[in-house]
Amino acid sequence: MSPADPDAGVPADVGGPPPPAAGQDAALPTTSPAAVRSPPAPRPVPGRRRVPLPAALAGCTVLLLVTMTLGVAIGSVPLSPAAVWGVITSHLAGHPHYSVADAIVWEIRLPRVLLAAVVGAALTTAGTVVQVLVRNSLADPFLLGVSSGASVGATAVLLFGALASLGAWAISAGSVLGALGAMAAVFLVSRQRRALAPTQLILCGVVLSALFESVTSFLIFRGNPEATQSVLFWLLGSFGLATWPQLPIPFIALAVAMVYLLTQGRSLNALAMGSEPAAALGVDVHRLRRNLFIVTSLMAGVAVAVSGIIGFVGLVIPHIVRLMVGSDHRRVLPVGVLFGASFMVLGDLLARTIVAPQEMPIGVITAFIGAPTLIFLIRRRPYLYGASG
Amino acid sequence: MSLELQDLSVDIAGRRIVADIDFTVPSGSFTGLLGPNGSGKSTILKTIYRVHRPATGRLLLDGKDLLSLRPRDAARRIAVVSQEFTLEFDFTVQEMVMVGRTPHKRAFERDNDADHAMVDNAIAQVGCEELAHRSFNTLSGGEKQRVLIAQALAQGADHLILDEPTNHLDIKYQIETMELVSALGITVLAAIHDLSLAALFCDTVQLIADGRIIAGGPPRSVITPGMMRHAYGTEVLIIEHPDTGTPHLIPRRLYGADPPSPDSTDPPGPDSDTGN
Repeated sequence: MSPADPDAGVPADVGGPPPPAAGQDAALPTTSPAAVRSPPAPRPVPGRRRVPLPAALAGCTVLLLVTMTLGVAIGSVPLSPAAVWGVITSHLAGHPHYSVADAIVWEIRLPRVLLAAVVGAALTTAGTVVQVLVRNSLADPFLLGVSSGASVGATAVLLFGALASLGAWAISAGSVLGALGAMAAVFLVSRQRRALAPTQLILCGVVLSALFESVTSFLIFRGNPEATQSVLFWLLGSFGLATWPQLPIPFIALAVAMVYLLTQGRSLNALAMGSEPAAALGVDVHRLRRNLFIVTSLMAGVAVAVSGIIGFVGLVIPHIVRLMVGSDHRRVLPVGVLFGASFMVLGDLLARTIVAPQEMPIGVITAFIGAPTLIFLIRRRPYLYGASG
Repeated sequence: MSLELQDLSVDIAGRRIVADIDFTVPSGSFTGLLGPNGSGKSTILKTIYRVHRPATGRLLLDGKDLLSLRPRDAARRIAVVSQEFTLEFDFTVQEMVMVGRTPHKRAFERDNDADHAMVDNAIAQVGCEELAHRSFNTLSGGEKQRVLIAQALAQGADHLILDEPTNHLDIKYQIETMELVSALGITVLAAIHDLSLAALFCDTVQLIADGRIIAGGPPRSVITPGMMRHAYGTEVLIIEHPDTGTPHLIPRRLYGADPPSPDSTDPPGPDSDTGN
């Protein structure tokens, strides 16, 4: 009997005594020994612990405010949280006092922290939805080719001066174009008889990603060796170039996507049951899958365009959120936005402080935190991750 | 209140899978869909719940075209327990059953008291109250099947479609599942592999072979040695069930089947020349 066997240790008696705690999540030590030894107890078996939604939302909001305050306060010139909020409130009230602290907070650190927050939220949301779309909890938002397509575009800009007329926006524009191209390619290739089947999506996404990555490699091979360093830096992701004008587009993209996704919360739950069960539940599966594909690709594409390729966030954060509040997407999505944003702000804070005055690429930080976390989660709950079939 | 299939044909990837399917599922009845592997049972069921589109023919619900209904309106009338269900995500039993309310809810509409009452009721109906807060993926096969039936019940439909509901279940759960379904009092159409079990519970059965209905009616008139030979291409013995008088299949060995005698210690060999 493999550890992945969901039947392991669970007696097959429905109407009888509650099963012993062996079948429960090992991480739930709430069953008292007495409850285990007295089978006819009428009390229901203690179930999966869920953090109530209001508590989770409140907690994550506080977490986000704290991490953002720290993100703005900590740096080469340390500021007190009071000073940080003083500057922010003075700007919000329309009476900014110009000073060094004001310039540091308002012009440099706050845009950066806000960009990290919105990218973290967007990648978490995209990851959550892609996992439903391909029915695989180990999928991430870049599975569908967005990041490798964006790399091709950004590399072309950095190495060959493509789109030079767009000036500072050239890299973003190039990566968005690359992401859209990749998305269209994956969409068209994986479409079969008007359906986007999960397996086809995964396979086509992986294959086309590999193809686009070799296009990037080819461009680097043909390009100027000195410029390749900037490509490498871009590929690993950074919020170092954040400015206010960069913020509206990702914020609007995230807001529009979230409104749409929250209207589809129940449908997402139905789709998590599978395409056919979802169809039987009255969901227009073809249309939903197509819309989800477009929404997640755009969100991931915009995130990549403003910050490069930041891995692991869209893979690990949805897991942690599901552990906290369960898999009901009406809970996962809003909590994920707040938690993903907090995580990314914290990651960026680490990226620019642990080797100061140098800056670590944020992708390195998220991978160093994300990979062990994911392995821990997989080892802790083998029945969930082994249950694919 | 009935479900009618009229001259239904379905093509998948350019190939005709089922043709000229024509039968009625009478209101309140338990109708079994029988037939060999690959004969088209699932295809017929999936066409009713819109995974496949019919190439020809019609589906009527209470005399009206089922496929002209909006998907969610159809889902309020017909609930489905599909075959081989796996779940990648961690839902509790209660959350799973609540998903059954999907066709009744609008965007942003929250779960209200009526929804919770439906869910609790459905869970009670399948006898899973104890499991309500358990994670679905920790349940046994029989428990999972009950939860999926509860999800379908929470859908509040008056028609239930089941695709091989007793697959992979042991004999106790097979009987319990069939008893549960037949006691629901709603119209049931189920693809069933085990012919004896179908005969024991179904009011009528439809027998499919090679994508066509070859017989329909009460189990007694359909499950006969001749029909079994026609549909499955194999010989079976059929006896009357001692409790119910329904047909019960006894499988026969193809080769070398001698009745055991007390003095024979050698098992019958697989000798293919016995001319049986």
